[in-house]
Amino acid sequence: MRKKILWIMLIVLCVFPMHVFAIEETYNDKVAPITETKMENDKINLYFFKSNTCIVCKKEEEFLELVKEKYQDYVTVYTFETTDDEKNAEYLSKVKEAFGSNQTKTVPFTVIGEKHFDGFSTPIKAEIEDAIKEYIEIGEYSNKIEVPFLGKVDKTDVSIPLVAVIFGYIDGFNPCAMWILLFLINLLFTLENKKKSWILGFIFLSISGFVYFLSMLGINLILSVIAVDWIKIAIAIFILGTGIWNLTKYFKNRKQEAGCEVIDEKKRKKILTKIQTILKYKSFLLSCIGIAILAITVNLVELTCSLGFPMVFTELLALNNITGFARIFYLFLYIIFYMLDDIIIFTISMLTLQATGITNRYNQISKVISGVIMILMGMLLIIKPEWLMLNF
Amino acid sequence: MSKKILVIGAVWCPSCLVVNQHLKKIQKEYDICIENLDYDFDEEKVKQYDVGTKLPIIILKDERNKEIKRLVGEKTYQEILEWLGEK
Repeated sequence: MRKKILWIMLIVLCVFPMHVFAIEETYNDKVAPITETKMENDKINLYFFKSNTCIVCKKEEEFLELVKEKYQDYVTVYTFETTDDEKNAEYLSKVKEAFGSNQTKTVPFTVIGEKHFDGFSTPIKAEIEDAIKEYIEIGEYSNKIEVPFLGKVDKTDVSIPLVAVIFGYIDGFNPCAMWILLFLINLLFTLENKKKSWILGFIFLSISGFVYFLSMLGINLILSVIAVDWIKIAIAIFILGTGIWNLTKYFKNRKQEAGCEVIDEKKRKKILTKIQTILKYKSFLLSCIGIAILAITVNLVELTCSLGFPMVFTELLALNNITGFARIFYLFLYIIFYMLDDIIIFTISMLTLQATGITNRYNQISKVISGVIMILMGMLLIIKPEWLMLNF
Repeated sequence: MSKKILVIGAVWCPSCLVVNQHLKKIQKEYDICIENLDYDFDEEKVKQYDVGTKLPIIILKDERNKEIKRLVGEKTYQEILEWLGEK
């Protein structure tokens, strides 16, 4: 029954756009009247304002050469040098006024239809190309797919929820914080008041999920702001390294006995004593607060153990320039599936009054899958980051 | 005569929980007496069994409570049965 529900949820997520319903873009050229540029039928204009002394402008120029080649039948690129040409500088001011742009960085400034872009970076590169594709109503370049009953839907709206579900689910098999949950469950069994047990367990799970969510949100906010290439390469190397380490661990442990490693005895005893103390508080409110604090500290410490996958997913969101409510929603979706195995274990244990464990085999399988995914993602982030902008 | 086995596990160890489920099933079908020790809560008793770094450990004992052999790590239901000589 559980499997059926999960499959139904997966199918719904694949076909139901979680972002916003796709709206057909209409092309409206606000710059042509200002710059007195020709408007051709069936072709869109891309306006590029630059300066000969601007290094970033040179990078965009190289990119636009590729754009001209790729979309030569659909796009005309107009370039305006603004340092040596006063008229072009004037055009730039008027265009910026028309778009209400108040960025202090003057160039590069790019306009396609209703969209304008201040500066140039990897995310902006993707946005420019997305804008071109949106305005071109040709099937092979369109990022939209026909979905029964829903009409044209943007592919990225479909892909990202699916990635959130899959990655969250795989990440959830990470045993880093699982042992504490099992500790807690067994001690909750000793409480006479079963309602209290359920509430305390629920608090532990909720706070654990919330801490993980906040951590991923923090990482994503940082990645969205930092557009420095070498930091992105460093992150890619970290992800690649974590993937290799996961696979290495799998192959190393494959021939050894499966089971639980007895490590960190002092830390374990400390946490055990802490949980026992918290559960003995006469005040239920104090117990709740104690469990919440325990969940926060334990999950923050264990975060370093499982940083790889969260980094992959948050980087994916940053690359696709997902912000605002959409970002919150996708992270929340990731967390739900991340916590799914914990929720199932807790619920079954509390209902049967018998602690349930997941066989080590699933942990090993998840190590292989997560290792392979991280290696792939790390390599793509270094060699072909544009492929991760879900343009497939 | 029933076989005596000692299981050394831990409440935080998922593999121990899996093995315990197999052993409960085996106990219903065969004549086996199971004693459980927890690695953390029964520290003093566990010390005498020279436990390494892997859990769970299943120890088969004779009538005089002496260890005959042991099984280390997570095992399947079939593997435990074969080891016990019940298959």
